[in-house]
Amino acid sequence: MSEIKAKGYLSPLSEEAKTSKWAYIKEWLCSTDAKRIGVLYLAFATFMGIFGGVLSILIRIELAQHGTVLFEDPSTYNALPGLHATAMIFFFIIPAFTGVANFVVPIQIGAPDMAFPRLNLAAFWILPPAALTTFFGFFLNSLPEFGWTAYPPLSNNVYSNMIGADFWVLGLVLVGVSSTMAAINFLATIFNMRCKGMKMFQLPLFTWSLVVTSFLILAATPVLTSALLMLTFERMFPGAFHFFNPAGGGDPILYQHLFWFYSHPAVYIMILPGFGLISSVIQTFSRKHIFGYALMAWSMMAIAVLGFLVWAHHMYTTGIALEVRVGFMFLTMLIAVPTGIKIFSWLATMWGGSIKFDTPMLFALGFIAMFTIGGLSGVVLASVSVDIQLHDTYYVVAHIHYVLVAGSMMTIFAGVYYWYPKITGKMYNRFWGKVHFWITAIFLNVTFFLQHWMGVKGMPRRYYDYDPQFEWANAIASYGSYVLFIGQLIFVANLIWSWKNGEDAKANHWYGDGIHLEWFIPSPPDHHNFHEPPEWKPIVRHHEHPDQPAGLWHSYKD
Amino acid sequence: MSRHANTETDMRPPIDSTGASTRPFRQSLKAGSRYAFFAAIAVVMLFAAILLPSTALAIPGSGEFVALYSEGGREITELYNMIAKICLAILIIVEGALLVAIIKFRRRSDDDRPLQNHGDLRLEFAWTMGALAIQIWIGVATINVMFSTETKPDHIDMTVVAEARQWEWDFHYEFDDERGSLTHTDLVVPAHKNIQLQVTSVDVLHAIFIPDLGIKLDAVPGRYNNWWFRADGPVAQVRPEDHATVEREQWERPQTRSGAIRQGQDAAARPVTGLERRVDYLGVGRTVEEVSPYEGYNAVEYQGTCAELCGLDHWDMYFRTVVMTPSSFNRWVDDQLARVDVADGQTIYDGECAACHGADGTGVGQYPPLVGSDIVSDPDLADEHIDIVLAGVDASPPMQAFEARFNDAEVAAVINYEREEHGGEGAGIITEDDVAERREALGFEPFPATTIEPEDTDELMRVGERLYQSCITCHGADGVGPDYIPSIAGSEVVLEEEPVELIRILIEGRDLDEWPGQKRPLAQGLSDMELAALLTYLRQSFDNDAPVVQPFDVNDIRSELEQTPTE
Amino acid sequence: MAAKEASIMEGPGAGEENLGVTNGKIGMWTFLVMDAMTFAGILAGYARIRWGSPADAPWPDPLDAFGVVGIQLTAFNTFVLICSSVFMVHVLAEQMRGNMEAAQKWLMATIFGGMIFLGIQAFEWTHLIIDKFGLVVLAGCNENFPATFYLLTGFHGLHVAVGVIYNTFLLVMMRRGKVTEEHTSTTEIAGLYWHFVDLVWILVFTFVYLIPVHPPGS
Repeated sequence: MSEIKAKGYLSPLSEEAKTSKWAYIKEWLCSTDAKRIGVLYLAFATFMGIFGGVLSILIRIELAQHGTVLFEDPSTYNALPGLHATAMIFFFIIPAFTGVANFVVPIQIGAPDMAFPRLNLAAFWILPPAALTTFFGFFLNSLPEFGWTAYPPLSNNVYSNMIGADFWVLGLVLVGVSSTMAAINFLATIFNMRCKGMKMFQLPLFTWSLVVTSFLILAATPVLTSALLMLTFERMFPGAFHFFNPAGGGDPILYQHLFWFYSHPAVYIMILPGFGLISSVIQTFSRKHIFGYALMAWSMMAIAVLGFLVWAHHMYTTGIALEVRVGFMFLTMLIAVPTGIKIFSWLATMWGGSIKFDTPMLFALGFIAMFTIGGLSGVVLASVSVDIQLHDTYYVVAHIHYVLVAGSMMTIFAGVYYWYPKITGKMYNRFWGKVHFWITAIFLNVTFFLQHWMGVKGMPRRYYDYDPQFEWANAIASYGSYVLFIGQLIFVANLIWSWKNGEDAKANHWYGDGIHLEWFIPSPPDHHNFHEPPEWKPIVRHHEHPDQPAGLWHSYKD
Repeated sequence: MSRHANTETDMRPPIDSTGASTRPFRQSLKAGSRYAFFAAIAVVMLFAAILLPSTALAIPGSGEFVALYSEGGREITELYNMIAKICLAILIIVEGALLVAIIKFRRRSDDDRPLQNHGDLRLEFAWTMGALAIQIWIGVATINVMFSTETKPDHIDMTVVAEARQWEWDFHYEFDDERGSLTHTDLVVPAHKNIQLQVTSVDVLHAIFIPDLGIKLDAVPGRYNNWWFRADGPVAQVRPEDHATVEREQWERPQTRSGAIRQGQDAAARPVTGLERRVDYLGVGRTVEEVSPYEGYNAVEYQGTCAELCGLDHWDMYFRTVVMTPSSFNRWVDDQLARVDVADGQTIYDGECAACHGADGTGVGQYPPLVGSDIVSDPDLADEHIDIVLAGVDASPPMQAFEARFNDAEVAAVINYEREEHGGEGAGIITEDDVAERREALGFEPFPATTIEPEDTDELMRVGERLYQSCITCHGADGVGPDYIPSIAGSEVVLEEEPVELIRILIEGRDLDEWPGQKRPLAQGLSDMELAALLTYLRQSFDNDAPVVQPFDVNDIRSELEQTPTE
Repeated sequence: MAAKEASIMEGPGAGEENLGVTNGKIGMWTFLVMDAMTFAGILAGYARIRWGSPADAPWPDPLDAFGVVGIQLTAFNTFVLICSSVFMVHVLAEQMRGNMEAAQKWLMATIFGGMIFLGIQAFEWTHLIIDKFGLVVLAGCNENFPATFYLLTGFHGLHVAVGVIYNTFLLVMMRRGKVTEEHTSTTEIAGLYWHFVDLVWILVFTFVYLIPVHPPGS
C-alpha cells in the first residue's frame, strides 16, 4: 500500500495509518478532531441531501401530470412529503450546518478543538443509526403516511397502524438527542474556550449565530421529544394512554402546540447559521467590515427569542380564540423587523465596497435576492385573515422552500465553497461552481415560483392528485425540479473531483481578504489548529489609507 | 495589472463624508468592462427576481386571490392586495439596491481598497423603525378585517354542521320550522344570508376549505369550530321580495369598502336561467356529470375540499358548495325532504326498463317510447304513470306488473327518473306516499320502503374494533379481563339472539355487586351505527359467533327500551 | 490516540470574558436546561389535559384517587429525596475540607436516599397496578389521570435511577482514588444533576399529588 500523503489535519496520525488505507479510514471514523468530524458531518449531510432530493423528485414526477403517474397507490405517495421533509430538515440542513460549524467555530475562537471532543464524536455517530431507524420503514414496506407533522389522531395506532411509523418516531427522538449533544458542545466551546483577547462582541457573526442556534436547540428540541414520547405511549398502549385522543379525554390540539413549540424555532435553527455565514462571505468579498455588527448580533438574539413566542401562527385555523391569534400575529410580524435589519445591513455592507463575484459571493447575492421573497411571503402569511385562506396550500410550500432552499441551502453552498480551500487545501473548479450557482438560482425559481400562484388559487398541500387547472404550473415545477436536482449532482462531483485535482489553496485564500482566525493558519489547518495559543487583537481599520496592502486589515499574532 | 491599479488610485477623487466613492459612473463602467459579463447576468437574475414575485404576490386587483364570492372573502382579498402592494414595494427597493450595489461597487481592480464604515446609528434606527411601522400598519389592518369578518352577526339565518370523516363530508341542516332536519353530501346554502358553519370530525383532523368563499377551518374530533359567512349567489337573489331594502346596484357590483375590487361578472344584470356557474372538477371518484343536480335551481357552484392531511384519500375529498337564491333554496330543501334518489331510479331503469323502452327512452322495436309521452311529461297524469308501473299493461306488447318486485321508494325512484330524464321540464316528481296511495287505490298489498340499507359486515367490524379501544382498559384485548369483570367471550348476554339486555347495559349502565366501581353508561352517546358496529364486533370476536347487528335493529331495540324503562 | 486528542484542553481558554469554570460544568448546566424543557413539555401537556378535561370525563381529585396507597407515603418519599439532596451538599463540603472519608460516607447516604426513593416508588406502582389503578378511579373520570401519572413519575424515576448510577460511579471513583479532594468540580457536576432531580420531583409531586381539583373552600 502506498504511503498516504496529506497535509495538515488530513495527514494520518498513527504510524499504521500512514501506510494502510484501512487504518487511515478507521482513524478518520474514530477521530475526535472537530475538523474531521465536521467533514464527516458534511459527507453524511450530502448523502442524505441526495436521498431527500430523490424523494422530492418522486413527488414531482407524480405531480407532473394530472392523474396517476408513478404510484398506483396514493398511500405510497402520501408517505413521501413527510419523509422528504424529515430527510431534508433533520438529516441534511441541520447536520450540514453542524458540520461547517464543527470545522470553523473552534478555529474562529482560537481554540484547539471543541470542549467535549468525545461527545462530539458520539453526537455524529448517533446520526447514521438515527437515519437508518427513521427510514427503516423502507425495508419493511411500511412507511409513515401522516406527513412530517404527524398530527394525531391520524398518527395514532388506530389510523396509522404501521410499524414503520414507530421507527420513524424513534429515529426523530435519536436525532433530537444528537443535535442536543452538539448544541451543548458548541455552547461550552464558545462560552469557555475563546482565546486571549476574544470577547463575546468580537466573535465572528457565524460563531455568534451558533450561540443563538444552540440555545434554540437546547430549549426547543426537548419539547418535541416530550411530544413524541407521549405519541409513542399512545401508539404503543392505546388502551391506557389518550393524551391526544378526544375519545379518552385527551386533546389533539395539544400535540400541535408542543410540536410547533419545537418546529417553529426549528426554522430559525435552520436559517440563523446561514445568516451568520453569509455575513462572513459578504464582508470578505466586499472587502468591508460588516455593517452594524452589534445590531446584527442582537437581531439574531431577537429572532431567537421571538421565535419561541410565535408557534401558534401555524395553527390559526384550529379554532383558537381571535384575541390569541391577534397576539401571535403581532409577535410574528415583529420577527420581520430583525430580519429586515439583517437584509439592509448586508446591503449596506456591500454599499461602497469592492465586490468580487466568486461562487460563494454569487450564492450570497442569490440568497439575499431570493430569501427576500421568502421573507416577504412570510409577512403575507403572518396576517391572520390572509393566512387562513392560504394555510395548507401551495403558497406555504412555496414560502418554506424560498426560505429553506433559497435560504438555508444556498447559504450552505456559499459556506462550503467559501471554506472549501480551507477544509481541503485545494481550490474547487470555478467554472463548474458558477454553473452550479446559475442552475440553482434559476431553477429554484422555476420549481417553486409558480407554487405561490397555485396556493393563491387554492391548491391544497399534500395532494396526490389535483384539479386539472393546476396541471400546467405543476408540469413546469416538475421540470424545474429535475434540472435543479441534476445541478446539485454537479456540485457533489465538483467537490469530489477538485479534492484530488484542484490547485493548492493559499492560507488566506480569498485575495487575502479573510479577516477571521481561520484564514491565518495554513490550508488545510494542522491537527489542533494552532501551534501555540493565539491571541486576538481588535481589528485595526485603515480609514485614511486606501493604498494599504491586502490582508492587513487587522493585526493578528500567531 | 499594477499599472491599471495605479491609474485607479490616481483617479480616485476626494472622499466624501458618507464614505461612498464619488467616482463618475461612466468612467467606472469603462474601467470595469471585464466584469460586464457578471453585471449583465446579475441584471437578468435580478430582473427575474423582481418580475416573478410581482406576479406571485399578485398584482393588486388582478383577481389572482380567489376569495371573491363572499362578503368576508372580499375583505380578505382587499387586505391581501394591500399587503401584497407593500411587500412588492419593499421587494423592489431591496432588489433595486442589490442591483445598484452589484453594478456600482463591483471590484474593478484587485487593489481596490474601499473605505470602511462600521455602521450608522441613524440609518440603522431608521430602518428598524420603518420596518416596525410597516408591520404595525399591516397588523392593525388585519385586526380590522379579523373583527369585521369573524365577529358573529346578531342574526344567524341558518346553521349548517359540517361533519368530516375519512374521506367524505356530511352536512347537517336544521330548520326552525316543521321541515325538521336534513343531511346531504353537498353544502347548499341560500345567498346573502348569514350562515353559521359548525365544523367537526368523527375520526382524524380534516379542514374544510372553500377557496372562492374564503373559508378554511379545521375539523377537530370532539370539537365544534365555528365560522360564519355571507355568500354571493346568482344575480336573482337580489330580487326585491327578499331584499327589498337592498339597493340593486350594490348587489350587481359587489364592492369592498375601498371599492378596490369590482367583480361584476357573476352579478351582471342578466336573466337567471338556473345554474350560473358550475364546478368543473370534483376529484377522481366523482366525475362531474354533464347535467349538474343543481341545474334546475337558480344557483352557483363552488369547489370545496379538505386542506388537512387526513390519510389515504385526503386529496379526493371534494364536495360541491352551492349557493342558491332563497326561493331556490327552499325549493331544494323541499325536494330533498321528499327526495327520491334519481341515481337509484336510473339503476332500476337500466336494469328493468331499458330493454324495452331503450336506455334513452325512445323505445325499442314495437315498444312505446317514453319521450314525448303525455303520461310521462304531464304532471296531471302522474297517477296514471304510477298505476302503469305498479299494475303493468295488458296489451300487445304487454308490460309486466312491478308492484310485488319494488317497494314504494324504488317505484318512486324509477318514475322520477323517467319523468326527469324523458318527461322533460315541468313533468314534476312524485313521492313514496303517492305510490303508497295508488297501491291502496289499486288494491295491492302495502310495500313500504326499508329505507335503511344493511351495513357491510366488514365496515361494522372495522368501526367496532376502533370503538373497542376504549373498552380494552377493563375488558382486555382478548375480551376476558380480570376475574371481577364480566368476560365478553362466551357471555350469554352478548350472544343473545336479540341483544336487548346488552344494549340496555351499554346505554343505561349497570351496578353489579361484585364490581368495585360503578359502571357508567358508556355507550349513551353512540349513534345507532356505532352501537351496531360495537355490538357486531363484540358478538363476532373473541371466538364469539352471534349474528350481525344492524343499525336499524339497534334503532328498534332502542325505541323498545324507551317504552319500557328499567325499574 | 483518541485519548491523546481529547485531552487537549479541558478548562477555559485564555479569553478574558470566558466563564472561568470547567467545560464540564457548563455542559451540565446546558444539559439541565435541556432536561428542564423536556419536563416542561410533559408538564405543559399534563396541565392542558388536566385543566381542559371535558365535563363528562372530569379529572379525579388526587386526594381520593390514590386509594389504599394514599399520598402520605409519597410525601415521606419527597422528604427522603430532599434529605438525599442535602447529603449531597455535605459530600462537596467535606471534599472541599479535604476529608474524603466523610465525603464518601455522605455520598453513600445520598445513594441510599435515592434507592429508598426508588424502592418506595416501585412499591407504590406495584400496588397501584395490582389494585387496578385507573379502573377504580376511572368510574366516569378522565382516563388520562393514570396515564399522565405513570408518564411523569416514570420519567422522573428514570432520572433518579440514572442519578443513583451516576453517584455510585462517583463513589467508586472516590474509593479508587481517581477523584480526590482536588476534583471538587466532578462532585459539583454530579451534585447539580442530583439537585435538579430533586427540584423536578417537587414540581411533579405538587402537580400530580397536591393540587386539588376542588380547592378547599370552593
